[in-house]
Amino acid sequence: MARRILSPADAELRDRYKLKGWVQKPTERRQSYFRWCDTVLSRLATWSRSEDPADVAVILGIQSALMSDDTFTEHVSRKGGDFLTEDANWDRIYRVGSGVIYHEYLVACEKEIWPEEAAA
Amino acid sequence: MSARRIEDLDELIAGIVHDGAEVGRTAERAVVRSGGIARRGVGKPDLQAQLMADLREALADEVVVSRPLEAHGVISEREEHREIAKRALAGIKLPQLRTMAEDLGLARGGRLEEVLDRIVGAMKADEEEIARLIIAYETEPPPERRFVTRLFPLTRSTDDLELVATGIEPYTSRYFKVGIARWMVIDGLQVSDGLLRLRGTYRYYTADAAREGDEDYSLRALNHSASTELRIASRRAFVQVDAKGATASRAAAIALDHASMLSVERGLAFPGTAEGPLFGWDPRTVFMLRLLSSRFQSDQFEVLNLTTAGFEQRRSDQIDGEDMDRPSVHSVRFQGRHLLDSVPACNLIVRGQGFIELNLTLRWSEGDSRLVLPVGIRIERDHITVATGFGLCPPNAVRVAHRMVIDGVERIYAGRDHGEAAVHQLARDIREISQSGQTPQHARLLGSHEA
Repeated sequence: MARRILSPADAELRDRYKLKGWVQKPTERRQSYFRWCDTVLSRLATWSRSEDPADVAVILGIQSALMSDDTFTEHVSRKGGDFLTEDANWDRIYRVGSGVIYHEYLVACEKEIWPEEAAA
Repeated sequence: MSARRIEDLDELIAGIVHDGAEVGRTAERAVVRSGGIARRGVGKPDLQAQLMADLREALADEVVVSRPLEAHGVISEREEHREIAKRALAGIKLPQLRTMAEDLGLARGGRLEEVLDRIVGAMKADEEEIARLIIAYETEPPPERRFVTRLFPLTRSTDDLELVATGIEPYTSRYFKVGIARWMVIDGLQVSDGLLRLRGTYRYYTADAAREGDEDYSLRALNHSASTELRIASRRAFVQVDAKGATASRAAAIALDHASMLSVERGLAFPGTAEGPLFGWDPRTVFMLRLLSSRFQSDQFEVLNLTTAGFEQRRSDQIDGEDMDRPSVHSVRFQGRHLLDSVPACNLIVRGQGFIELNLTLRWSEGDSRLVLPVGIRIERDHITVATGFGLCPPNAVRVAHRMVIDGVERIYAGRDHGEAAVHQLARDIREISQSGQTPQHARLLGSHEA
């Protein structure tokens, strides 16, 4: 089982914003982000002391992509309510969204769905 | 070589952030082409600079980073500034730092340095803001930021302070030996406003043997002194001592014992409880619970959070001549939040351990003024220590609150406060948590309101 990436509070936000569903579909988007996960991990591996970079650094790398994807903005704004009126909460929702992507990526790697899916 | 240059790190981050943005836009275009919606202009903030700073922080932890020297200093001034802020915050215990992070809207997890980095980053290393945070969140302030009074019980109270003063008068400007190389000098006394004040100086030596070369042996002694103030109020059960440390306070109490008609009890005497939900509990625990449930849940005081709870095995339960090889725990100290709602603390209470120390955040209200203060109470063998931190409040106002806390402690000790229903309810709740073995999701016994 892939390790836990999100704190219980973050998992609550994930469920409230239905972020798991957003990451999983459509496949094209999911593949773009999973490919980016591969890239981020390989770039960070050149810097890290260990083979596995710290989760927080990977999540921040994913966030760099998520922040410029306005389909994510559309998704969270639609579900958002008052939460996103605070600037700090935008950072939080990006962080949680990136954490969900990374978790899904790890699950796919573990089940050997990825990178096979990319190769297919 | 394990160190890396900061310039290389910045290049790596710039590459990730640049290429990441392109990946995001590509993903967006693909989804829009297939009928998805992208929304712009909804007031989302520009977080790129913060993201880069966060990445720099996360990756700088991974390896040793070397930075170029600055023109006028060895270490980057910004880095120094930031590290000093972290060092100052590190004086606060990690659970309290986590609370601080959470209150600031930051993640509370991670190691000490990660939490510190997050807080200092959010405050942009602003010294003034960080100093305010430290003072607001410290639960056990250092001596210079708190009033500390030790309460020693008298064998009997008095309502004739003038008579007591007359008895002490001949001993002013004289001293008593109160221990090995320890003396207490009575400097002067004064009776006014129903209070007798006895000023003194505690003088003592620390000494040790020294050897220089093969043959030269000598004793090295260092002379120390500390001023003390002892106060006796009419018809009160305790004498109050303000001094630096328990030893100096005890010396002042011993001097009073020698010089006056009043005697200080050798130990504290808490009444036992014969029946009800408090049955079988350590009398010191019952005292603390009475204090929490009545004096500190009143119009004047409200417990916001209980952050430290210290327990000690009853002395009578510590077997004399106990097998020295047999493992045993005689005292334990919990730190956290809303500790009275936690199963471990409730278990110790129910099992009869003595609840001898607490630190809490207390709200004190009088008239229009409301102060949030860190307060500590500790029961020693022969006295009770009451410490009230200044928090962010002016010391003069805190002094009044400190006196009110002392008054509450005295009233409970002397049995002058009757809040039986409240303490019985609290005891029943503690038994329930202990029996259920489950810490409630939300604090409910005390301190369920945040500041």
